[in-house]
Amino acid sequence: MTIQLRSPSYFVLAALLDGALHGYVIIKRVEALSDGAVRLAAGSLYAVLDRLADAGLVEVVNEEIVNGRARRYYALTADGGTALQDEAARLAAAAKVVTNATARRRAINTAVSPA
Amino acid sequence: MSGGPSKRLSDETVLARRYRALLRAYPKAWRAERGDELLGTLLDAAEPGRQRPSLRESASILTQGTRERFGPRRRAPGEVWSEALRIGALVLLGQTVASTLLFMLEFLDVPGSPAAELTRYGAGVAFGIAAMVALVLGQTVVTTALTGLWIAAPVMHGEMPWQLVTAFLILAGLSLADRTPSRRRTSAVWLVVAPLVLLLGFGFNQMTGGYFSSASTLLYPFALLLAFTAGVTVDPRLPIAVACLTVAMMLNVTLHVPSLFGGATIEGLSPMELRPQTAVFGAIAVVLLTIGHLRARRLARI
Repeated sequence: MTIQLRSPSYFVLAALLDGALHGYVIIKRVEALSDGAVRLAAGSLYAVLDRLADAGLVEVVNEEIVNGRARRYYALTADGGTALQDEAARLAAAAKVVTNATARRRAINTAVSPA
Repeated sequence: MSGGPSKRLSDETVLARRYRALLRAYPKAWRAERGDELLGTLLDAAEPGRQRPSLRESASILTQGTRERFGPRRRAPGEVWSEALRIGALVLLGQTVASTLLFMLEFLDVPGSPAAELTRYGAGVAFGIAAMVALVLGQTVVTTALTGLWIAAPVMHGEMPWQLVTAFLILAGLSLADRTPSRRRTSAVWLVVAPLVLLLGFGFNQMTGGYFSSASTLLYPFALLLAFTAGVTVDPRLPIAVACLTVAMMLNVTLHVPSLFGGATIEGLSPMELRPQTAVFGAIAVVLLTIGHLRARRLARI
């Protein structure tokens, strides 16, 4: 199955680019990286983490109890890093046809010219 | 000042207790594995002094917990469709078995009921149960054959049983399309939907008397649509399965053809009667299928 990332999943993976994080820090990091556009409730975060873990894109690397609260630390897997880079490249290409007139014309010409 | 470490601890204990109560929306196994972690994150995210769970977090816990409990795992849209159509066929078979049994029980009360008639109904029920067991076990081809035999065998009288015809067409399509060697089992739990559908059908007839007499009676089908659309938030298989039932209901109110052996229609009814119900049921089916398809596509994304 081709990996298609929803917006929350994309930003959760992006949040883990610089190292393993636990739930609350992921929520804050996602909000900061998306400029406030993606605000995850805790329940939604764990649904996203479950989907990502099921697909092998993140993994639990550490567990600890801090002030009586259970914490698990999540990290990107190699597949997760690849999926994130692929999605970023797709988004960049999609943005380019809007911001760059030359790229837009090239895409149109490629589409209409006979093979 | 009434604040301080002990007050903060007390607030947190109250909040934790309330969050724990909400976490019961999740299945027990999920709570055992992840409950403490989710609770820790909820408490991390709560502002100091808060004793009541926020509305946003509460809604999220209830929605995600319900999805975790009842919703399907991530899979390709084709798999969702295949499962949903099997569920639709299973419920259609269940509905027909239930109505045949009810008819048979009523017939038993009639003094001097001919044994031949009772045997016919009994044979119908036996076909139906065998077909349902085969479908639950993932034997789609066997179910298709049994459903076909049930339609063709002289165990039905009256009009063509459109629930069975719809189930047969769905199963035949699945048998041809599904080339994977593994058997796809269907949970028999979905049969709990059958009595609900019968009840809705009964309510529909009570309200409409078979015909729409005023605009207010249109409310019923739309209530039906709304009720099942609610299921969309949890499981995309539900609207697709219910659309199968809606198609059968549409055929029931529109086509009046005698069943294959010994069938008969009500005198004066033309073979095809396009009523407002035809359009309403058709529209409901289209909307439900569209919603189910969109949700199935979304489910495939991570």
